[in-house]
Amino acid sequence: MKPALAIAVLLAAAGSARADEGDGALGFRIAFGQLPIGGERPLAVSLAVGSEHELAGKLRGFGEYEWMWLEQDRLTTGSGSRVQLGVRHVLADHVVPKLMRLYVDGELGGGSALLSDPTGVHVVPDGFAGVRFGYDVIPHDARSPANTLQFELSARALYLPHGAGWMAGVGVWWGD
Amino acid sequence: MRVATFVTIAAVAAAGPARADDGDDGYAPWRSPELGLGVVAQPIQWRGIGTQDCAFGPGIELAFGGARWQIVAEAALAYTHGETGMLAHPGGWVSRAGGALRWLARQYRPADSFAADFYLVTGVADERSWWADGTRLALPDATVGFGLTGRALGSHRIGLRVEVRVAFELDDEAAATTTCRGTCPMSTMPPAGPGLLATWGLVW
Repeated sequence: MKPALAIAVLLAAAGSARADEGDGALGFRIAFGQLPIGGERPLAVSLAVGSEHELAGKLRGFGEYEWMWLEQDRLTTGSGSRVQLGVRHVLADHVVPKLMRLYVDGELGGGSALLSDPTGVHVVPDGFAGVRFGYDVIPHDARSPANTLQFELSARALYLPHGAGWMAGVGVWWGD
Repeated sequence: MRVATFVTIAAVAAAGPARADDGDDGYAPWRSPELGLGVVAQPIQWRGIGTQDCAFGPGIELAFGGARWQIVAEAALAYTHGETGMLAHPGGWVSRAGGALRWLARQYRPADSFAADFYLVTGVADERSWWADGTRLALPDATVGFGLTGRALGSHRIGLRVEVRVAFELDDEAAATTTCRGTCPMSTMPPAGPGLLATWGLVW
């Protein structure tokens, strides 16, 4: 039931973000990478939904729920859920007036995955550090419910019990 | 466990965001009815020991709903051939028919004539397979995922939709039979697990 609990927390956060009209965002990421799990380094493909909130200045906290598939030698070796919590901070940005904001953000965080494969169910904790490259589009219509639309590429180095791995992805975020 | 997990996800997806809708205006509502046509990648599990694949084919949907909710009736038909790369398979046809519920989570309007929507979706469907070797399978599933729609507002009524869902098989025994193509011992050939359901299409 941990996946369901994670989604419950995420959606509750998403709902409250909108209700409070805070500086949050909701969106998704599609990613792939290689992770050291169970003595192998399977290919990981994931779909993630996430929410984030401003903590202070250019520091934002985020939470993500992710569904992952693991493949090794073209065989699906496992699948399951992962929950990640972290913070991101603007490293550099540039605003093009009335059009967009370009940015590079750094991020730190950690979480845990609950993965099942033919050998059983495994809890796989992780920590990560990453970088995001992207841009915010600023709407011309003041009635837009979302203040920004953010497109980004992300790359993460992950540290798991059996070694280091990586994931890269494409995300789109709707900002409050 | 899969059923319980899915039911919980669907219940929370329905209940959690409701608070955000209270008195919340400004969203360009989904149209009702709304027709969708597209290409659907249906999850199938027939490459043997726990490997998944997708069958591709046309899909159609008809959606009704209010400002930020849609109830969807959907159906799709797909064909897949025997090329697997791992194990031989006769190939054949796969169909699915079911329903779904969508919630418009966020909307971005760069201008008053266009909206970019992000939504969450959950659904149930009955997937059936007609393999060329005579095998017939019925495999109900429950899905949960998200999608995005870029659509014109006002008099122009067309939009573009991309949607992805994780598909949880609701019948473990049938899933194992599918995985093993009815010929291997279930105890040694576990199901491959949830698959991916994806849709690309037009709505209007």
